[in-house]
Amino acid sequence: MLKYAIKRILLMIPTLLAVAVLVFLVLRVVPGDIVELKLTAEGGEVSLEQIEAEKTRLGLNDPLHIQFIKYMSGLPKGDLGISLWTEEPVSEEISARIGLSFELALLSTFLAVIIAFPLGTLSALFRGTFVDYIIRIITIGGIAVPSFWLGMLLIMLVLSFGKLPPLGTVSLFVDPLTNFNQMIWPAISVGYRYTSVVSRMLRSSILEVLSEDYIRTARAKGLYEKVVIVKHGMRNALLPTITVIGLEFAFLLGGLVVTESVFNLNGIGKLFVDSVVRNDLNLLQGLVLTVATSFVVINLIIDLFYAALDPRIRYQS
Amino acid sequence: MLNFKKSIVGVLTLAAFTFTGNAALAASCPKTGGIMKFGVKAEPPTYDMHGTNSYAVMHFVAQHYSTLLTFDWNKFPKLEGDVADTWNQSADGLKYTFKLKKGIKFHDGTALTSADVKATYDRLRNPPKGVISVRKALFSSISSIETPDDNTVVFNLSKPDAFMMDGFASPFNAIYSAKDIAKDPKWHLKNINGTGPYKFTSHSKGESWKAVKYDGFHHGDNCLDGTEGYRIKKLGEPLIGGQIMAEWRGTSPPERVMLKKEMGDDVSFQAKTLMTLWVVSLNSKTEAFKNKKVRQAINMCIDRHAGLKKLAKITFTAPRPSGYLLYNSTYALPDEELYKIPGFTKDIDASRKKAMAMLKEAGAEGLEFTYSNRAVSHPYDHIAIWLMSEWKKCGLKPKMMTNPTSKFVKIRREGGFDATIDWAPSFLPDPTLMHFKYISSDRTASNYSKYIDRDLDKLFDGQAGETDVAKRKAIVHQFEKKALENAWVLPVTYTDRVIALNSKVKGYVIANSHILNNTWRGVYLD
Repeated sequence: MLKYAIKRILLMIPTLLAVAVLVFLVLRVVPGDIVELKLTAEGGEVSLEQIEAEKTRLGLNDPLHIQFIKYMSGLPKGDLGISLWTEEPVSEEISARIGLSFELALLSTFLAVIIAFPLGTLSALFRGTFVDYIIRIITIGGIAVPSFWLGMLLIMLVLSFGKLPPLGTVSLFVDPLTNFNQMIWPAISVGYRYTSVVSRMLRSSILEVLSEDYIRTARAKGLYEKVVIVKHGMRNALLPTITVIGLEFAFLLGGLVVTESVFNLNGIGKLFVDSVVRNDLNLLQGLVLTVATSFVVINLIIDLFYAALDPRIRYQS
Repeated sequence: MLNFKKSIVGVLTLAAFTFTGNAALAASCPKTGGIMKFGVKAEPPTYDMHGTNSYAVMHFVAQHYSTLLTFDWNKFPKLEGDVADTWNQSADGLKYTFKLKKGIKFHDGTALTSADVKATYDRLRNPPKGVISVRKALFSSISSIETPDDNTVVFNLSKPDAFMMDGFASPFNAIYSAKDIAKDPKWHLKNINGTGPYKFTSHSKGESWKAVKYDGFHHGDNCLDGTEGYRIKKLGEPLIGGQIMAEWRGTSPPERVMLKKEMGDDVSFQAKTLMTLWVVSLNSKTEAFKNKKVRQAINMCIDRHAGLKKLAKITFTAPRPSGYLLYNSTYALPDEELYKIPGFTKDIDASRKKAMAMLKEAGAEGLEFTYSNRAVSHPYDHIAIWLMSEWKKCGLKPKMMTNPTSKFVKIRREGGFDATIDWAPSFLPDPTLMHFKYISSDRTASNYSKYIDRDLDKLFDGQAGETDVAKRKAIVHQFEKKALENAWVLPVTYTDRVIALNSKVKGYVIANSHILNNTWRGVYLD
């Protein structure tokens, strides 16, 4: 198992290096000028000399290979450079916001898991019945409805009952009630889709597992149906479902671009939008790397989890 | 008995004094306390007021600073002292002497002296390496600054400058502490220490900006306990949902209808024409546009009189035409003269007929050209769609290219367009401030048409040095006529600024620009 884990961890390094190189090159092709934007977008008299001097100061006039060497040599030290907009370290910009995105992803996952498991199981066990049809309508609706649109509906719903929660992130550890009030609505708007995806996957997996020979054997042995479902069916059906939960969680860390904007939440998603709008190349690189790292780490955890659950995987590798 | 009478008179006198004293206090702060929460749709790129034109900086940062002079918002553009107590100008217009108010202190407790004013203006007109002063050109006529004593500052000019007094009231020219500048010329990019009504407490990036009342504020009309600014994406829901009480930039007409419907009497509106002029710049490198008649024809196809009225119903543009200077302001071209210039006449059918004949004569019938647009809904998309339809009525074939702001500004700077939307923001309808954009491109970086016109340069310099209002007006009118007839830069119209406030917010007086009156002096919550 240890050998397997080390091998998987070592594989992360070339993956992340490839992402770092690719994102650097792709962003250099994107047109736009952050200095021009910063100094002249709202009018004003700024000379070309001033703009060029500012670009030089920020290192944007350095040859591409110098910029690349600076960027790559900073990575092993965790130095992602400075944001070209705020001139603060990229790592600080990201760390100031990642907590909120993480909390939202965690809350959405919690909601999704506690709702999706009973829904997916019921839907599979009562396949082709009224219960299955109702659950399928709900879950297909969840996949079809965009999260941001649901978010806007939720805001209207909250407004019809009173006031919106206050702006500005309130820490869970300082004021849990206000924090819950701020997070629950975006969590529902994201969690609905998440629930639907997990529930559909669980349903399919259970149905597939229930048609396996070993389930027929278990039933033929005269085991209780409860034991057949929980011990033999669910355990095996969980494997692909866990993969989906993990990948969805990783996606939420950087993918709540529109939802965070709709709810005015200061997370990674909103920072993504800001950095794209401003053409803040350093910040974008840092954000893509952060999201890629979280994807790779979560994939690693899933793989290790798989290996722990299914010995065939560790032996094969 | 006499003593008793004296006592009565004394009590009455004291009562009268107390009453008038309270009345004076009540006039500036009828109520005190509370936190005013407001929304801003952008993030400040810097804290340095000298190095930016960003309204986000103004809305968050201006409350922490004072300027030498300021405006009387009820009698705008009448000047009044901010840190200056009294001032005078020499007869030849070459010397300005300011006496500063005594006892003013920075938020860190150090006293404000003339050395701070000198250090501030030296940083503005001659910024050290690595520091950007975006309005440096406006101070080119200052030759030296003297500080005879702690409370006196003297500005010596190399030539008379009609704009100079108003420049001292520019909200961007915040007074910094000489000590802070000496410590590090770039200190103000990330730190704040001013003498303004509210003291900076925290900035949570991308989210909020918090400030508390500065008890030592020299005007004493900072009525709130503090302010909290929040980064918002849209105005509607945060205002209706009680998350914010104000947004200072402006609302569009459909948004106003929605707010009124949802909030009823809980929302109030204030309106004034904003001194941002929307213009279309034609590229002087485009072959077809080198012919003046083609440029004039493009201008003459636009029905400003009927079209702008309709446009004003869907976005925040003014419902009437204007030259480069704000209509009805002191130096603006009177309407009867403006409406004689090609492109501004009221008979649109005749204007378009003539335009098409001119295009034919120039061999530019059905001319195809690109129009660079900024990917922002209000008012860019609305103006663009309107202009496209107007030009098509003359058989022209404009092709719109819409790009995000960072790409749009790059295209604008590099001249990758035939025609581009552009804007000229200002805080005052002053010709020096507002005509600077239209002089030769080797003298101004904001002339994106990139033409050279020495006649315009000469007229510009003439008015800038003319302190007699009537004489200056005559020169300015010549400039307007010549530039409008040249038709390199086509004015669309000014902006209608309407702000929405929660009805609890009182004492705010809207100004002609969203960069003005952002210190919240006299604003209170009721």
